[in-house]
Amino acid sequence: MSEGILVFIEQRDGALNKTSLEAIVAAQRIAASTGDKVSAIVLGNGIANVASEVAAKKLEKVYTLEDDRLNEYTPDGYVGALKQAIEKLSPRFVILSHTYQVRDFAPRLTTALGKTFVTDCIAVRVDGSDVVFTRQIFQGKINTDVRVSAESPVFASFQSGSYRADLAEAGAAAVEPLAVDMSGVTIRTETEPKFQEAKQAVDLTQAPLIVAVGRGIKSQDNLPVVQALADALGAEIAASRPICDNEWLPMDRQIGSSGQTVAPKLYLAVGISGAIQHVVGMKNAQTIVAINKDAEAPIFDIADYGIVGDLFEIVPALTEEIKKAKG
Amino acid sequence: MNIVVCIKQILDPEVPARDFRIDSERREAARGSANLVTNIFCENALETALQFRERAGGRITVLSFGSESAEDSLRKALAMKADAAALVINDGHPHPDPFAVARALAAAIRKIGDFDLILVGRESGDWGAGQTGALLAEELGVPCVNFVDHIDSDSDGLRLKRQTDAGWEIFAAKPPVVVTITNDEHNVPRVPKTRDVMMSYRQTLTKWTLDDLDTDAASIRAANSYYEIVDLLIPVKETQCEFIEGDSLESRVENLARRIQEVTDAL
Repeated sequence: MSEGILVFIEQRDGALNKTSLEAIVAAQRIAASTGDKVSAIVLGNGIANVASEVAAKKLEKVYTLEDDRLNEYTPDGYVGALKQAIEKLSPRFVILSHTYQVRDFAPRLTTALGKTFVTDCIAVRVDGSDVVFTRQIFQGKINTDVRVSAESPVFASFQSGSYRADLAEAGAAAVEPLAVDMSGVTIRTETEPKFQEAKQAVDLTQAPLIVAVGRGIKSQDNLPVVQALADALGAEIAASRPICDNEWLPMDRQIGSSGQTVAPKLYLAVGISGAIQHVVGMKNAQTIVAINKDAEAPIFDIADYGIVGDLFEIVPALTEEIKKAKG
Repeated sequence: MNIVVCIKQILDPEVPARDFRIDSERREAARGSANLVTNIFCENALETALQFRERAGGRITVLSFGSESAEDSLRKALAMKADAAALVINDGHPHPDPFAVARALAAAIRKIGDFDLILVGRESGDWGAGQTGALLAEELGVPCVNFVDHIDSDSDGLRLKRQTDAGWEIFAAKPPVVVTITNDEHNVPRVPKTRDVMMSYRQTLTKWTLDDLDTDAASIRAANSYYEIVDLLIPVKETQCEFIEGDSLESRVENLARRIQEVTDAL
């Protein structure tokens, strides 16, 4: 008999991916109605700190799965290990955050187990005896509520920012090592990285403050105007697609359907009209500020605060004002 | 090198939200004024294949599992200079679960013949489950490399540039392999020449039904969506933008800086 909810905790080099805490919140929401116990699982090596950080949340257990073959993330290694763990623990639900890593391995894991995977959810609720997931379709234009009647465990991944990480209920969970047999797991050499290009300096998904620039900046030569504002705020700079397509900023700074999905505390959109492809990547930000010359720009539909005007006047003045306030 | 690019025809997701309609049973997006288009990531996949063929040679077959109208997407792919096109008519559920889609595509790929490289878009712009590539790889029993935007080959095999949470990685892979394609500035789909569009209608386009494939057609036809749709709704915007007004630029900026300060102070 399947019971309980298992949350996949993502880590890289021993650092917790904060969106995993959002996945915990989603699991706790389900559990509040169903009475299921929520546990978490973390894979890798040198993961004691991540495990204890997660164990400070209201969870039944934090399972750790350590093996030399899990030193580096590989889809084969993760699928091999998680398949055994899930068969052993037999949960009703497996909850994940919809990161690139999850998108990479989870469909293979669910195929290997023959289970259903509801991807990129934005909410979950319990309706009587049914668990109902909300997904966005047509690039966020339509929301769909879906009910899964498939055999458990049902897998569901949540979009970054669907729940606030700081709302994870606190507690004291026991950390328990879980043994799996990795001897039969082949890490296919086909997918081993030969080399990695320079990694991005920052993971935008973890940045609390983002200043994003769009087409309104007109020229690459004008970027320092926006960079100065980001520096004054201590924010990361990001961009909409046209800026990265022109190679004015690197691709890893791109927000939107073909870039990163972020949910910072503050998102300051400068000269960004708010095309849907951009909005899907940032609409979960807690506070959105928009500066745009066009009062009809769709970015104002989702902004909390807006200024209509010339960014080349407003941004430098705002930068000075922020600097002044910070003393 | 034999390359198969799988493409999906969808309702144009670029149509403004106000033009989207939901059918009366609230189970399906009604077409409204939306056009049918090829999913953008599928076109990025085709573009990536075309560029690869320019460097390394090969033969590109485009394949779709969908309704009769998907022929338009395949004709456009031929106009972009794919070598051959095949359509498997889906006469079952309009949104079959990804397992059924993968089974149908895998059977069609085996019928096309030997393959080295299978390209699919990373996800569709309509329902966007993002699972077809991985499931297709499992069906075909080959590895899957995700979120690739550039493919090269050398004497060792393929070199795949892929996107990860941590930046870009270059993978070495030996064919056969399934690759899911993401977009970047280098694989923006080319616009076919008018002459090639006209020519594409004279080219052969293979059409199969599920019964023509070596697969369990009945189970694919019976495959429902893998979850039950309880409701569809067009989200209502919740935030009201507060426009910062003021007598002068200075007072407006000061006002805005104060709002921003409230957020950053709370960090």
